[in-house]
Amino acid sequence: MSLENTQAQMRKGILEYCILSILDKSEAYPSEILEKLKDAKLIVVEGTLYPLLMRLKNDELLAYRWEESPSGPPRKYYVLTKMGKTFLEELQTTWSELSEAVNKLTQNK
Amino acid sequence: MKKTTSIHIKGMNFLFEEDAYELLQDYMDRLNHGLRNEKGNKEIVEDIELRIAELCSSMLNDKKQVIEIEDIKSILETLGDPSQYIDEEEASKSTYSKESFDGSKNKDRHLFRDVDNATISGVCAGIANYFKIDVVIIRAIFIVMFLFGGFGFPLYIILWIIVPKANSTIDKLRMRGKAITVDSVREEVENAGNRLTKETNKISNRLRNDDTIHRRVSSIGRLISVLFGTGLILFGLFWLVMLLIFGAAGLQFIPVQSDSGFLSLSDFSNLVLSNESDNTMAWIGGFVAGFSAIFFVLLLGIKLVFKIRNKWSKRALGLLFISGFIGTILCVFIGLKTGREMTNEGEIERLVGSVQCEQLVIQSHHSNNRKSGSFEVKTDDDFNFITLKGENIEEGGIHFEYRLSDDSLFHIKQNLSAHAHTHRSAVAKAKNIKHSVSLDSTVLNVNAHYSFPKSDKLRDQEVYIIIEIPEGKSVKINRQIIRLGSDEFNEEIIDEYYEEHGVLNNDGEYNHHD
Repeated sequence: MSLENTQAQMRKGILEYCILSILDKSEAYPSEILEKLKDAKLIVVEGTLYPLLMRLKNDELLAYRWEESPSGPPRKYYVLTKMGKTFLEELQTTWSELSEAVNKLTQNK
Repeated sequence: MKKTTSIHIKGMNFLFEEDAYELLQDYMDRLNHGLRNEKGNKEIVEDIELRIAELCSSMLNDKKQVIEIEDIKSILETLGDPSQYIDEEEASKSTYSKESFDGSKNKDRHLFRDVDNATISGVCAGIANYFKIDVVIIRAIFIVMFLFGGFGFPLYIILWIIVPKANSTIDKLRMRGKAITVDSVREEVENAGNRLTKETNKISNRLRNDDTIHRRVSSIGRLISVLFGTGLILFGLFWLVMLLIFGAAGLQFIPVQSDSGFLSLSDFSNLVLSNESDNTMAWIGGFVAGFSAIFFVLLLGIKLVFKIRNKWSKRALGLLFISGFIGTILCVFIGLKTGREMTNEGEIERLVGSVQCEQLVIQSHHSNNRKSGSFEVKTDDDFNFITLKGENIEEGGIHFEYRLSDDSLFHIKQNLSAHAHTHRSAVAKAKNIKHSVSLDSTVLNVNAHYSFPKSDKLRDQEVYIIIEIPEGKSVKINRQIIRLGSDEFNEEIIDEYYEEHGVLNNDGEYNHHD
């Protein structure tokens, strides 16, 4: 078990939760999502986002619509579906429980 | 210096350096391979293509038009290698409960006019996109309908009007149904080849930014120029055939009575132009001018139909224009030279005889030998044709002029006239005219024809018979009685300038003009 692999596994687990959270605030197209994730240093390579978005979409947690861009190619704006919203709420409780647990464990060390 | 390739990603055109394109192509191949088991893999590739297009367009500006290998390297670095973000194990493991609603996109194909691949308006290209068949087949069907059906043209115009143009890139994606994948991009690049150069790319980009009206106007202009060009080509071909038949082939079509039947244009010009060198010059001039004009029209038509714009064709047009001009100048020169031969009239007059009687009878003589071989030449009787007899030209049509006599006698005069450069040679030509007229007691025998040597050329040779009629006397010609004036106009008769005219045609018919 390498360090790199573990880091990647850890990030991947919370990435879905983060994407759904970004889209909960407002709809966004991939480049916007990428910007926020990169700011938060959650992803290293952009390519990671696309298969994830597709899986979320295939699970009907996300939907998208096309929009013309003033410059460049058309954009795919992603939004949360109803299912996505309930899914996110579940994740939020799970996350607060998890972070609490993790904090407790690591601080008590 | 590097070769560039034009590719389009999601409806956007980019110029790639070839090595940059190869690098991207390799990346996309690996991506496709990595995602082969992933559900919705094509859409993921599509999304990544979109991102690449976005990054590419952010790198371009007015000064930078081409994507270089360094650009692609940095783009691929941001995206990360497929191996970094594709967990193949997970992809194949993961199960999905529902079909992606992406599938509906396939059926969601719309009919648009594909103006990017248009010849005229993009109707054919749009239909080809809709049915996913080669546009050449659609075009062939339309051309066949244009030619044989008659309904092809109105159908095309109707489609042009009702089918919307694929304006936005989204329209273009919908027009093609399932979006472009790397395979279609590659195919596109292969097809692109020499079709898209940097120059045409710029033009098409500019056109795309223009408004719809401009686009439609320009394609109407294209239609008009194609139709006009086709017309020019047909016109040019028609006259080329005409010139070859009547000029070069020496078709004998001028209906002249001669031993050999009809005359060709070159034989005829020989009768008009003063000498052999003039004739040769006129023919060279005529041919140069004629062929230049015809090829000018043909080339112009071809240029319009096939949108040819190059130096070579421009130079050829200029050259044809100049040679046509020179040919025309030569013709005009010969025309003026020949016209000069007509400037002076010379005439001779002789008295045929005088007679005293109540009525002078004019007997016309004409040979009814208007035959050409075994065919009889049908002509309009009012038209005086010339007849060639050996070394002579025979013409019909004798003019009659009636005046009042000073005394109680009929005076009959024969007046022969011709034209030439000088008065002397005109008189000489007039003298060469042979016309038989004789007075036999009270009968005047007049031949309806007269002749002159071929070498004199056609120089408006005319024969006038002038008859002075004593007051109250009459002339009888072909059952027609001519009397000058009437009792009511006695004063007019006294006027010595009073004249009446008539013409004896070559068929022996007489027409009197009051």
